[in-house]
Amino acid sequence: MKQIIRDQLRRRWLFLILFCLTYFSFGLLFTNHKDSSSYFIFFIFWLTFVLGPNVWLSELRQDYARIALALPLTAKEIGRAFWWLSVGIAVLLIAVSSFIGFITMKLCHSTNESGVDFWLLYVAINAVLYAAIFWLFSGKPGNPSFFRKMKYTSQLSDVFWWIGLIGGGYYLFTSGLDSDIKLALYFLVCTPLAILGWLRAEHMIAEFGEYRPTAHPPQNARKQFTPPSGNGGTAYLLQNSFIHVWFTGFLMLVAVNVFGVFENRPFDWHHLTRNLTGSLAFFVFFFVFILRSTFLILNIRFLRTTPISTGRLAAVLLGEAILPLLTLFLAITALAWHETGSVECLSLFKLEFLVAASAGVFIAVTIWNTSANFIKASALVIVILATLAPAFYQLIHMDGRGLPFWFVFGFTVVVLAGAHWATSQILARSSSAYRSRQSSRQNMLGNRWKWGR
Amino acid sequence: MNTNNAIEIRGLVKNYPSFTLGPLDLTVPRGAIYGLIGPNGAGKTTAIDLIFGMGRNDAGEIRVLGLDHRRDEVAVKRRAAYVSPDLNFQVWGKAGKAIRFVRGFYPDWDDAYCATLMQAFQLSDADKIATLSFGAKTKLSLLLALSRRPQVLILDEPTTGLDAVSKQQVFGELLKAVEDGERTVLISSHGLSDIERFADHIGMIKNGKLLLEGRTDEIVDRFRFVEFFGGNGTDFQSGDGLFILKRTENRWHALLDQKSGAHDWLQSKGAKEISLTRLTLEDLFVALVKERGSK
Repeated sequence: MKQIIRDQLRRRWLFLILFCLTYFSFGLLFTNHKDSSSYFIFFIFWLTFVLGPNVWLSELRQDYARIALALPLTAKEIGRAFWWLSVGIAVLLIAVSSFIGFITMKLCHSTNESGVDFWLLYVAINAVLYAAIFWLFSGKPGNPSFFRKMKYTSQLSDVFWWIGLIGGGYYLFTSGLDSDIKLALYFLVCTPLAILGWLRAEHMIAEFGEYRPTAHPPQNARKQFTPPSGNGGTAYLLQNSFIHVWFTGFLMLVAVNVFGVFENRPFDWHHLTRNLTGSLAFFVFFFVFILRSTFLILNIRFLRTTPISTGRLAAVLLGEAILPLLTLFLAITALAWHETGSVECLSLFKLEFLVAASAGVFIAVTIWNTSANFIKASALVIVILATLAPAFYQLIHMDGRGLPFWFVFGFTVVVLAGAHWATSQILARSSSAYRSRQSSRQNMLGNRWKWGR
Repeated sequence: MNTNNAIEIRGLVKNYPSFTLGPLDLTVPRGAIYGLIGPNGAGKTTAIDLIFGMGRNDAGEIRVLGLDHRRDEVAVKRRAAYVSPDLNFQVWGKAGKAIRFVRGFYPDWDDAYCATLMQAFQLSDADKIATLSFGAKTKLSLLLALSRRPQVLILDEPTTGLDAVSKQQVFGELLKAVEDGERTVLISSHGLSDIERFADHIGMIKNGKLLLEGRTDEIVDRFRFVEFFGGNGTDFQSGDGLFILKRTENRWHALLDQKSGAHDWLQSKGAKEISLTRLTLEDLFVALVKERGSK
């Protein structure tokens, strides 16, 4: 178990530095208890997804589990090693990093109102959240055979958990950390999940190890092996993408409103849009985008064999991920426009345009095989951060003081054009673009990740 | 359970929504090179995976060197090694890093042998795993398994993607590994000519069930292609030891198990001009897999 942990820590030193710096910055923010409300808690959630268990568990999807299971280790030992990495060590680093940040700020600003009790609460919130998220990523509870047979029920249960998580997060961060009842409810829900995660770690490894992508025949609802002919099946891809994204968007709206009921609040477009623009949109956009782009990247070898030019394929890759999301948010804001006014809606548009630009760069970056070259990888991180920076700026200035629309539009067009050019060049010139990192998972159009066979 | 056997599988069952493995019984004697063959989707990889705890069996027992695969999981994995092109060591970046990671788990790791294999397989520490060819990745997987000097070596389609020279190299190293007669190799492969040449025992599975098991030469020698003319318009059906493959008017082609007494049965039914032909393992495999009506 120690060897697994040591190996992971050794190989992920760069990530660990980033992780510590991020939570150190959070420690610096502990200036005022009252300031630590909506945005503060939103970032706790957001960071848990970006830097949390998902990062540590990502290698399990690259056949790591099968390699580890062939070593003289039990599934329980491997699972617990990943639990310690994803939760134990992560929380320890959060505690230390944020405390250093907190003390630094306390020394610099004697007027700092927050005490150690607030820091402890912050660490406790993160601890149970990290552990609960670990459980969420470890698969469905039990995964009994009758459940596996009921394909759609199984998928719906996934949707249910994600709605619960997003909705629950929304419910919590609508009024910050000062509501004792909400905090109690939070710990009441997350603590059992945290314990379940520890208990489920073994099964997670066994199920990852059991999964052999090559044993899964490609299949979708129409039982097709390949998409229909005509434009290389791009219409089929776009249609699928629109259905998925719009369905997710619909569920998100339902979740937001269901949780509004807990606050005895009637349906209100203004309220909805304010929350979407403030945080949820940003989060959901990235979440859905990553799901869609991963699907494409895994199938890129197949897509490259379809009878369309690299330029058009690059456009499909970009459009398939971006267009459904942009149109979804266009629809939401159009519906809310009458109630909310143009300022909020325009802010949302600007944010989504900027995230779309970043998403375009992300697509190009993902298919470019850096072969673990540090300089190339660092250059890509800088490019991504540079394209994300305006989006972050816009996110914290959603009250109309954000970036001017002409800049947002121009920036997005230029970045997307650049991303399209880079993507088509990579597709045309590099054979590595067709070889996804998980080589055994190519050409699975319509297939989905499953926990177990 | 017999302690002279390296691997014993008894009543193994694994249920999937669309496939059931078993009940499967398999016996791999110590010191043998055992070829596990079967058509795609027969359950070969599933059976091998279960030995290493990649999935949980629903019923049955697996013993490796007398150790229970679940109760003594770690002890089994110390003594047995697994090789498959499925294993992707890419997360370690370079071959050297993957080797350093794996060697840490095995006190018996043989550095000198590892260096010899690296030279033989034309691999180096600095090789980026992402840029290795499919065959080179398989060789790396084999190197990681052989360098620990395992008592049992389990290979799941190790020759997939290898050229003829590399195949010879791989089998050459395997033969060297078992030359002391103490080590056992279980190899699942679709390269039937290689299996016939190198494996002294074979097990054939189909649809999750064991069709045949035994010494390779005995099994190949036991079966014959048979051609005969049916007498008096008799309609011959597949039965015990006789597998009808084709009929052209009154001329019949079948597979015949010489141990079954099917030859006498054919004569008693009036079959004429019965001619028997030797077959290869591949012929036998194709005939048995294609044959649908066996009882």
